[in-house]
Amino acid sequence: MGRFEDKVVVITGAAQGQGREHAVRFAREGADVVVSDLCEQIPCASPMGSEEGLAETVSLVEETGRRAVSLRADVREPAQMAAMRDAALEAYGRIDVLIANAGIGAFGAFPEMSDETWREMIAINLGGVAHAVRAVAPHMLERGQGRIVATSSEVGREGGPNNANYASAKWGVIGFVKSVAIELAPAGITVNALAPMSVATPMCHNPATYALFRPDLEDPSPEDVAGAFGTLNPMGVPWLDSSDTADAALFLASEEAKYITGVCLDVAGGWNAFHAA
Amino acid sequence: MSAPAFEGRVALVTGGGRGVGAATALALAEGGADVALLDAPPALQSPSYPLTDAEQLEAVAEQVRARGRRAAAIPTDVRDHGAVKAAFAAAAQLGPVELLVVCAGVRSVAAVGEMTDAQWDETVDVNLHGAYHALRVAVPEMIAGDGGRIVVVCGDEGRRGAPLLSHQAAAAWGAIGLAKSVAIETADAGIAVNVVCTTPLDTTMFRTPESWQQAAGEAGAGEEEAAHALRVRHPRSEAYVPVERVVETALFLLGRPGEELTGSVVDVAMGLSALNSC
Repeated sequence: MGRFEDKVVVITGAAQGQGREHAVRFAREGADVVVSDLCEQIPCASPMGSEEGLAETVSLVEETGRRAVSLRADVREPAQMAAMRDAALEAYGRIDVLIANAGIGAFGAFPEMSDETWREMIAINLGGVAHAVRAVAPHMLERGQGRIVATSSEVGREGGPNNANYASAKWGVIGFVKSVAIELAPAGITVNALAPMSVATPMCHNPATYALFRPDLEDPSPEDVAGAFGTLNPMGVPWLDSSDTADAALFLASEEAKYITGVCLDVAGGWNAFHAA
Repeated sequence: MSAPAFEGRVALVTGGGRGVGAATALALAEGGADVALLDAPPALQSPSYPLTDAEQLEAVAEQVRARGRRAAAIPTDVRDHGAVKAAFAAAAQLGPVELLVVCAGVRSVAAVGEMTDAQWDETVDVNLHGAYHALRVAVPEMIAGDGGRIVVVCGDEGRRGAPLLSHQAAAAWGAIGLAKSVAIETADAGIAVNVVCTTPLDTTMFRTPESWQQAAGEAGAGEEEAAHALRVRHPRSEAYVPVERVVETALFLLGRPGEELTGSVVDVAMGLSALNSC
């Protein structure tokens, strides 16, 4: 029997990447899921999920024998996060776990950063986490139980050159999570952040990101950039597999982690050991 | 604070209409700087205290002039990138801006599940986007010019979790992530970017029933209960950080000659920073 038998897990940004992996892994351990995604490409962002991708997540969940409800939802819009919550309650009657995972990659040198690159990043990677949590928190408080995991980043633990927007959003997620953790702790609800290093998803594996790591090469390949990625952490790992962050998310959502709240858990090959706090 | 460390330099202060912003502006003027003051935004929904108006802003400019320096009072909505660009253009009448102090901020109190969209939006728009807008305009100008000094002033909720202030914490943590990122990118460009984080100040923004109740941790609490709770909370057993201490810290960071000190957060926090893990 899995750790999440008959639990209901809501996941944003689930049409690909880590969000999809979270969905499948929770389902394998017995959970029914609600998966949402914008299913639309924002011009400044790394490759984003699609309707086909979200449908693929649903079938991967269903292959495990569990149920999946999917919806297109924009984390920038509080009303759409409320609609996601309502869809979960209508389908399953409760929400046990929220994984506020949706996020984009978009970068640029600060003195040239476009307004769109700044604004969309804060709206999605920070506002999106807040709006999902704001939507679900009253329901969890009413039940007196729940688990919330928000995706931050190692770039939320230090300054990010060419990534001022991303660092700002991911720092913001940690401050938000710690605050909400204190508020919801009396009800036994845990709220934690996950801070991964690069993960092998479309946000990491795309030409623009490769070019940032190997500006000296015309059309760098994964092999060309792996070394540069690996220098960021003492284990020398270029990127994690999504299953590595899913392991951490499932742990934080599990019964074993019931007294772990307000944490920002680094899954980062020791990158975090360079940070002062 | 009286040494003319800023003679002939131009400072721009967002939130310069009162509080820390105004006090920093006046101290900079005493140090010889000409000052552009941004404040007096349009009405907002979420603050339960009055915002600064154009008359108050002009009064601070007059006080700068009374110190023998030039001043420009520029009513500005820092949420609007275009307005911030225009304000910098207006400030250019004083000369190139080499000193930037980001003080503009709003405050409201809300449980995460009861927070209104306006509380979230206005906090992020003013406290985080406002900081971004100012830095985004200032940094290229400083790179093209002779470098500069940037100080971002945040609340202590940028350093830890803060119940009923998750929106404030999100924006303040975000501003610190922004400042550190820009500090890295500009470390070789003659620019230093640092953050000052303070525990509560007894200023207009904090003098509200909702802030007193948040500080005291109980509904219905007033000014006395809040002050008591803050004294208990702070290792240094006083409720409020004097505005002058924040000003001194900002001036120290603005006046330093080298760029060795950049990317730092300086806590003026009545000893609460001793609870930080580093």
